[in-house]
Amino acid sequence: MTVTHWRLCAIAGLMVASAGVHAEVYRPNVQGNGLDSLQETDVQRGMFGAGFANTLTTNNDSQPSMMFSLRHFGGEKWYLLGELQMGLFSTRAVFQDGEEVRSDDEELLRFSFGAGYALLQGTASTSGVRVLPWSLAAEATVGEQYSGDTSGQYGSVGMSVQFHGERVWTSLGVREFLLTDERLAGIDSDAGTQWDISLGLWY
Amino acid sequence: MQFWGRSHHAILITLCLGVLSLSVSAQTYIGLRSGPSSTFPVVYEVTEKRELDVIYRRGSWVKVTDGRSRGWLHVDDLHLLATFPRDEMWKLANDARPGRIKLGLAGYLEGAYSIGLHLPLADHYLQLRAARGPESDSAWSQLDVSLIMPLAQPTESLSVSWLVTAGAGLEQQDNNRWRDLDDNPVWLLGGGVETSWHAERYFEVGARVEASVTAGDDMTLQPLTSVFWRIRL
Repeated sequence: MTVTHWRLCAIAGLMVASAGVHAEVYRPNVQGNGLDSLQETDVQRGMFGAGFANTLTTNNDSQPSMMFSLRHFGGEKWYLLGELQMGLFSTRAVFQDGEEVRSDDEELLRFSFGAGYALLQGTASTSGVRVLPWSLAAEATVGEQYSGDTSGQYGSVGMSVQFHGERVWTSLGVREFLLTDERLAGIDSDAGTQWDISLGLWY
Repeated sequence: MQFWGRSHHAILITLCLGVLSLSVSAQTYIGLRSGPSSTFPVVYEVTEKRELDVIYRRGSWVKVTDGRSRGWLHVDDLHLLATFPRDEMWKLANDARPGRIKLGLAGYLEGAYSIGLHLPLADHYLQLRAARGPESDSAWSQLDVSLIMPLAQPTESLSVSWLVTAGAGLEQQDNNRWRDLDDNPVWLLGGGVETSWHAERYFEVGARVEASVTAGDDMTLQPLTSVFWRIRL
């Protein structure tokens, strides 16, 4: 083999080698920090519950109802509050000028939303070993109430004591409310007081 | 000699006690609270070398246990635990950051209420809102889109923004909010200004003043004043 042959062989070898190198296409990837692969921690975003409410509207008898509530945490003390209440509104008829303004079988449906703020937070304990956090919160809601065949806007302010168990929570609440229902305003039955007790779970 | 010998021993013992007390005082105790807030009392303390497992997280707080007892610790304090995995700590801190999407609820002085979704758009927000205003036996509804742009930030937690709005309004049951005669949908254009206070990490409250006009010949002007709650999802 001559020198020329050696050169040709060398060039051919280099080409083959370089082809092998170029066959590995460069594919850049965004480097992950590995955090996504870690196991997700369970998150508590709020609490929902169901309970019993007893409503005493002015010029009316106290009426029982069911109440469903949802509290979505907005931080350490604030939370958004949504409520749905269903039950009886009236079991006593009211007549004005011979005309029935409120019948004795009216039902109530209310939904409202608002916010709560934990004014006090503490710990309850009887044995000193197990502890139960509690909070006293101020709550305000606005919404709409359907009473019988009419409806009006609903506004309330109240207080709620909540006990936060490991799996369940419970609350006791009391509130004052106002309605803008013209029919009920005409018979002075557009405001009142309510207490409620709820039991629920975290979500 | 005997006196000096005793003296040396006393000095040595004092030095040893000093070193021991130094090492004892260097021990760090981390307080675990009964609830997820700094206002809840500390109910349990652990040393920095105690191994803790996270049970769950609520906002910026994690509930941890060492197998014997449990309590709440802020994610910013997890670094105090020498044994806690750093990658897990950063993930928890990262997950605890509030998102940019907001859910808003508002109550209006005019007696209406609304629900809105706020989507980030660069430095601005796009708000999708559904409002409803019951009036006696009738009602009106409004669906609109607003572009909310920052105007000023007097303090770290207080911001002022202005907004432009476009949407549609619908009168129901012979409501006369925009038109006296018919209940057909009307197109609305408007604008306003709002101020919001970032009360907490995930939560803000504020007030908005706005006005909208019907896009048409009669151009009815309707002002709206509201108080709102917004939560970062």
